[in-house]
Parts: sequence; structure tokens; C-alpha cells
Amino acid sequence: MPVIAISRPETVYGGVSGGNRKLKRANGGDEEDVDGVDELEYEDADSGSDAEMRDLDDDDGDANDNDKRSGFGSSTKGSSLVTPGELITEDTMWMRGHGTFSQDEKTFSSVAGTITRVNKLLSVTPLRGRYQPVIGDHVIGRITEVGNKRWKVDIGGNQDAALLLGSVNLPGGVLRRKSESDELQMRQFLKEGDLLNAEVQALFSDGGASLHTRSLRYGKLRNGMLVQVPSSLIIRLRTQLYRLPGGVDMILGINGYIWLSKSSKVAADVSITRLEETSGLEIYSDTNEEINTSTRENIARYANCIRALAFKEVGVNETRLIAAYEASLAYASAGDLIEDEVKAILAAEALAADRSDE
Amino acid sequence: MKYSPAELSYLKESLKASPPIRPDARLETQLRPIEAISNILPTANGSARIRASDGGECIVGVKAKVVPTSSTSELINVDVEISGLKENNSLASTLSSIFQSTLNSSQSLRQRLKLTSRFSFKLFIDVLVLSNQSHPLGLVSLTIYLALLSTKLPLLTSSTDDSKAEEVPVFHDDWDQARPLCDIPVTQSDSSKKSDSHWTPPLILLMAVVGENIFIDPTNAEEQVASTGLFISWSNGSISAPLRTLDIGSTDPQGISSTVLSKAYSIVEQCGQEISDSLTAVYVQDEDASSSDF
Amino acid sequence: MSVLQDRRRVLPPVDTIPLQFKEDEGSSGSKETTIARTRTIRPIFIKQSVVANASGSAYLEVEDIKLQCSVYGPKPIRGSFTQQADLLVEAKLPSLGQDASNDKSASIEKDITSFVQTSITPGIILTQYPKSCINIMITVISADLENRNFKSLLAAATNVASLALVDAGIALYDIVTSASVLLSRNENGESLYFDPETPRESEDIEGVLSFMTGQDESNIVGMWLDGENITSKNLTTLTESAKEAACQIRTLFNGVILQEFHDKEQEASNSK
Repeated sequence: MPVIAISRPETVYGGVSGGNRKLKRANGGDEEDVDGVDELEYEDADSGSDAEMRDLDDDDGDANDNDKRSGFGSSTKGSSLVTPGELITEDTMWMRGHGTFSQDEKTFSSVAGTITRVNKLLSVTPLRGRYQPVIGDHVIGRITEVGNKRWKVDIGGNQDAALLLGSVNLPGGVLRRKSESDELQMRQFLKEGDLLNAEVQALFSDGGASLHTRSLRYGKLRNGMLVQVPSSLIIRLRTQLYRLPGGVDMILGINGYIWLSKSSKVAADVSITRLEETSGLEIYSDTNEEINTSTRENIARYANCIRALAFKEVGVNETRLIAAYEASLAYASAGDLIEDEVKAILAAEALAADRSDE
Repeated sequence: MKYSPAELSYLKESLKASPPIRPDARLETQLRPIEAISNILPTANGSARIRASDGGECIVGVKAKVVPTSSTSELINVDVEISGLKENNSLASTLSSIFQSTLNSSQSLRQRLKLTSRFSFKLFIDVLVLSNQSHPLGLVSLTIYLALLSTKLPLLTSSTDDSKAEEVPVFHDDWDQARPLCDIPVTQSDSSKKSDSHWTPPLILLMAVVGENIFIDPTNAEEQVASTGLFISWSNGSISAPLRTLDIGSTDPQGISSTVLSKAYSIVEQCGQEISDSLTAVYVQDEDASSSDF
Repeated sequence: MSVLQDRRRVLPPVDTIPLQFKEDEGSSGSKETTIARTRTIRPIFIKQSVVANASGSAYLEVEDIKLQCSVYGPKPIRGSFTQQADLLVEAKLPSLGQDASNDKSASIEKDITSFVQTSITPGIILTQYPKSCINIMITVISADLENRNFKSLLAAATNVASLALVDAGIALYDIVTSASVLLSRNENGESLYFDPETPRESEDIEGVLSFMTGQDESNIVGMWLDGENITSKNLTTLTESAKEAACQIRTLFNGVILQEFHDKEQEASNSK
């Protein structure tokens, strides 16, 4: 294995002619090495930019000619990908949701992303950007501040979420009243830097989120490591807790924070009746259990697989991750997985497996 | 970046194990992949840009100026700027001083900058760290190395002996005649011939010590659990000054044993040449590419 | 220059040359005096509690090197919570005269700061002082930076900071002591000197290492070696001899600290 892998950057020139093609190349990296990956992933993006090109052509022809683009215009013909400032519809029947703004009764997109329609609500989901909390999301966060009866938690959103002292399980049972002494020793439970998984309980009017950890599924995290990916790569599913082959548990935070840890002996779902017995001060412990070498190696390998998926902008789910992990076993040393070519191969394998799964 | 105690202890245990397990499963001697290119600034005598896989990025420009040798004690001036930090920030000035003293202490480099008995070139090395996740020392060193490799100085046409009559140096107009600052070993047989004139820039490698293990090119998380940072310089095929310990933001700094020190020594001995060869290859490739353009 | 001229002084004629004294017959070059003293350190003068308004302070003198260090703290910090104390080291040089540029002295100050900080941090039990900070100010009262060994100055700076920390009563794992060494290499072979006075020549290796000499293992807390072509044997020799020198200094410090304590006790009983 080389001590250092050095690649030379692809030269990307701006400009009109061929700019699109070159940009694509820059994103895709070495096309020759991985057949098919770029096609698979950039399919949508490509047709999207084609649609955009058509629109621009329209503008060139007649800037005020919006008729051709009325309704969902060309954007819906190819895909529903729009760029900021692009007209979505002139129809006033639509309710304008996130990612849109209106001018003269017309609805425009304010972010680059895909159009989503729910009944009469029209919104644009951004391709990039920070995590936007939704009630019920299972997220992973890091305490940034211990405040008055509440913790501030970084969940990768526009603003820190709040975790109220009343929304956590304290040692001594769920139904115990929060006393003043609890307020004084908040740092004993959770302190700056601590990681926890929680559910978004409510949203404030300013877009901030309020979290709760009132279930044994939630709470402080230990016995593992965190990997961060863009939140757009995580899909909301019924469960975000997975048991992966190799003795590794994964919590896929909707906000893109992924926790990999040693498989716990206790089943993830503990009945509410057992909650009281199990919630001692040890749920706030900072000490890790004994973790053997092979588990640690597997965790590092999974972490690299997740990074490989993120590198190619492939959404992370259980099937893909396991496929990438299995493909990665071809490399005896997981250290090989940090190289760009290998990452691309893993991402391709993951996508292929996911397709055949369907 | 702040980590939770559980994360830090998990990381520390993994790194202390034998063999150690790094958070990205790298080997102890393996650097993170980088993207490197030389000669990116057309107005500089030499330049390079390196992007690290964690998003760190560094640009170095080298400019030369003719000065009377007697007017300055230091022929190399290094100025490090880290975006987002103030100019007099201690990290930036520490880096400046490390590279400045390392390069100035190289006798062969000073020899190479000498023009006539009165005049010398003075090198101004401007380093711009655009972003960094972990300690930028290693990244900066790789970039300076590549920039110095690509540095070309104009060919002197006037006489080299001006001890009797002061004479302003005159240079050849043609940049194609410029001589490279360093000798690039083109083939294997060339590199094995070690003559006094052969010189490549020093390469400083940053390592983190955790327990009895040494990790080259540490990530931010690894730096936090390290006992201490350590850097060793590799110059012209041997270990050279400086060998220093460095505070890299460990949360729990500790002493290291002399066994660890010898281990670090042998790690640099092991991979120093390979890293410098890899960077040289980038430069040679860039040279080929630019010459084939015309 | 004329603007800055000191008008209170009677200036000499412009063509004056400075007085030059004839070299003393007895001392012919510092190199030889170094040879006479290979594996011992120069005599050190130390005194603790020299600054009344600091939490702790110390003064150290080795020939031309005169250093003073004061420790302030631990004192509370404002703002966010920290698990352990922040340590802030600062070094100040005397004005170096007119020809030395400001830039240079700033970079030397940074070198001292960074070496001392790296060396002494592992010795302090920082976790005992959450939400506080400890400031260490080192003042170089005099030192010849041009012609004397800089590594010896670094060692002295570390040592004076350690003494000041002890004086401030801050919880320590161990007293960090630092020693400089020089390995001279020439045709005649290698020879080693403790606490060198002169800077290295081209083939030599010089260095300064800090130790927690009370600990058996993992006791190197700071290191700075300079020189070309350092072999692994050189590295071992330098580390081992620096440790020997650091132990000598540690023994000396222990004696002084205890002596000062006894003196104070004596004073107290006398005043009764």
C-alpha cells in the first residue's frame, strides 16, 4: 500500500462551450475506472441541467415569454429539478411551502432542489443545505451549551435545538418530579461535547427544534464513533436503528449524523415497564464497555464505507451500506478504502445491490 | 471541535491497541490522500496547491528577489497566513518560524541562492492555508516542498565575480533558460547518485503520539487524544533538523518514552523518501503536461 | 535617526570608535571552557517568590542568562464552561537593540512560548482546575541571542517556569526540568557537552529536552533538536545524556525548594 496517494486535480474551466460536460467530469472523478457509476448517479442531475439549459434558451429567445413555462413548464418534463429564481408556476391555486417565494402572484423557487407536491402544497426540497428538523425525526446531536433548565444541542440545523430538562429520563424512574437539585447537577447527566440520540418533539415558530429522550431507545451515546454525512443523504424510514453484520449497531440520524457502535446485548426495544428498573445513573455513563479488536476494526470499516457512499453522493441506507461493506472485504486492509478510486467502486457496488434488491 | 468523553476514550483505546485501529482504518504510516498540482501561479517563480481529503487546502507561492548578500541574514522569508485567523495568530507565526528556521539552516539552499560574491536571491515563500480541519503543519510542508521543487530562477548572464567592482546582476531574457532551484532526480540511476550538488527541499512530517504508537498525518480527532505532537524533518535522504515536540491541541498532554521517539524516527526513515518521491512525481508530471502544451 | 537622538547626552564626535579591550590571556575562547566541563551543568542561581503580586514566581540566572517568571492563577474565566484549566504561556524579550528587527524578536518569543508550553503542560494537573486559567509570564531580563546557545536559553526558560509553578502551589504531576546538550561531530569523533554555551557548528547536533524525571516511563515532555544527518544512535545518545543533565537539575531544584521552605519556617519561628 502506498504511504500517500496523490492525485492531480482535473482542470475545470468556466465558460459557455462544453462547460457542462467538464463540470460533470470534475464531479465524477475518474470515469474510466468505474464504468457506470457516474451514469447511475448523475442521471437525474444531468437531465436536470439539460432542462435548465432549455429554459435558458427560452429566456434568450424571449425573456418575457413565460407561457411556455407555465404550469410546471419544462422543469416537470424532464425532472422536477429547479434552480433559485426559477419560475415554478403562475397558477395561484398552489399553496407556497418551503423553498419558494412569490412575486406578482407567481411562484418561484428560492433554492436549488426538487419540487415536492403534497395536495395543494408546493415546496422545493433543497439538494444541499443544513438539516431542517421535522417532528418525529430521530436525530443525533451534540451538546453545545448547558443552560437554564435546558441543554442546547447541535443537530446540524440552522440553529441549535433545545433539550429541556423535563424531556429527559432522569435516574430514579420516569415519573419522578424534576427537583431543584436536578437543575443544579445538569452537567452530571449531559455536558458540553456529549453525544445523544433523541427525537424531535416539537418545532418552535422560529424553526428551532425541541428534542426529547423519553424512551430507552434515546439517550447518551457511547461504545463507538460518529460519522457525519450531509443530511440530504439520509431518508426517513420506519426505523433508524440497525444491527449490521460484524457486531456493529448503527443509528442513522436523519440529520446526517451516523453513530456506529458495538452491538448492545439488550434488545433495542425495552418495554416501558422495564424503563424504571433500567434507568439508573449508568444511562449517563461516560465509560465505554470492553470492545474487542475485531469490532473496532469493523466500525472503522463501516465508517469508511459510509464516507465512500457520501463521497459519491449516494444516499445511505442499510442495504447499500451492507453491500459496500461486503464489497470492501475484498480489501484486506480497510485503510485502502480512503482512496478515491476505491470509494467509487464501493459506491457503485452499493448502488448495484440496491437496484437488484428492488 | 469538541468530542464527548465516551468518543475520546473509544478513540484512545483503539489507537493504543496493538496493532492500532485508526478511525479511518489507515496504517500508522499512511497519509490521507491528497490532490496536488504545481505551478499554478503564473507570476510566481514557483507555486503549488494541495487539497487534503478532509477539505484542507493550502496554496504556496515562491518569489525571488535579488538582494545584496550583506544586507540580510536570512535569505528565505516564510510568511504563513491561515484564513479566518488574525495575522499575528500564534499558530500562523509558529508555522512561519518553523519553516523559516528550517529552510534557513540548510547550507545547500543558501549556496544555491548565491548569485555573485555580492548578490544573492532572497526567497519569499507565501503560504496561504485556505482551510484546515487538522493541524496544518503537514499540509503546509508538503505544499512548500512542491512549490520549491517547481521554483525556477532566471539564468545569470553577467559575471559571477564582482568582488572587485560592484556590478548589478543581469539575467537572461528567456524563461526557458531559467534554472530550477532543486535538482529533480529524473530516473532511478540519477537519484542513487548522491552528489553534494544534489538537493531537494526539507519535508516536515507531523505525527501524533498515542501511548506507544505513532500516527503520521493525524486527523483532528487523533490530535485531541494524542499525548503530544511530534515533527521530524526529512531532508536529502536523511533525518535532519528540526526534531521537535509540538502542542497539537491534545486534551490530555503526556510525556513520551524514548522508545516512542526511536519509533517515530524509524517511521520517518521508512516513508520520508516515498513521500518526497511521490511529490516529485507530481512535479515531473506537471512539467511534462506544461511542456507538451506548447 | 536624528529625530530619536538623545539630546540630554553630550554626544561624541562622529568618527569615534568603540573601546576595545585586549583579550585576557587566561580565557582563550569559550569552546575550550566547554570542553573542560563536559558532563556537568553550569552553576545556576535560583530564587523563588520574587514578585509579590503574582501567585508564584521565580528568578533564574546562568551566567549571562537572566530570567524571571511569574505565574498568575488559577483564576476564573468568563464565558463557556471548560473541563480543565487553560494554560497560557507568554515570553517577553528585552529590546534587542537597534539592529535587531522587531520581527525576529517576535519569532524568538514565539519559539520560547511554544517550547515552554509544550514542556510544562503535561506536568500540571489541569483537570483539578475546571473553568479557570493559569497565566505564565516569562521575562528574559538578559540573554545573548546572537553568540550564545539558544537551546540553553530554552532549557532555562522551562526550568524557571517550573519553579514558578511550584511556588504558586499549583498541583503538579512532577516538576518538569529541561536540559540542553550539544553533540560535537568532527574528524576526531563525537563528543558530548551538557548545557552548551556556544551555538552549534555546521556538523554538530544541539538540542534541548524536557523531562518529568520522577516518572520512569514516558517522561520526555518536550524536545527540540537541530542539526543535519541525525542518526538514530545520535538520537539515543542525546536523549539519554539530556536526561542525565535534567536529573542533575532536578536534584538541585529539590534541594533549593526544600531549603527555601526551611528558611521560611526558620523565619516564622524566629518572629514568634
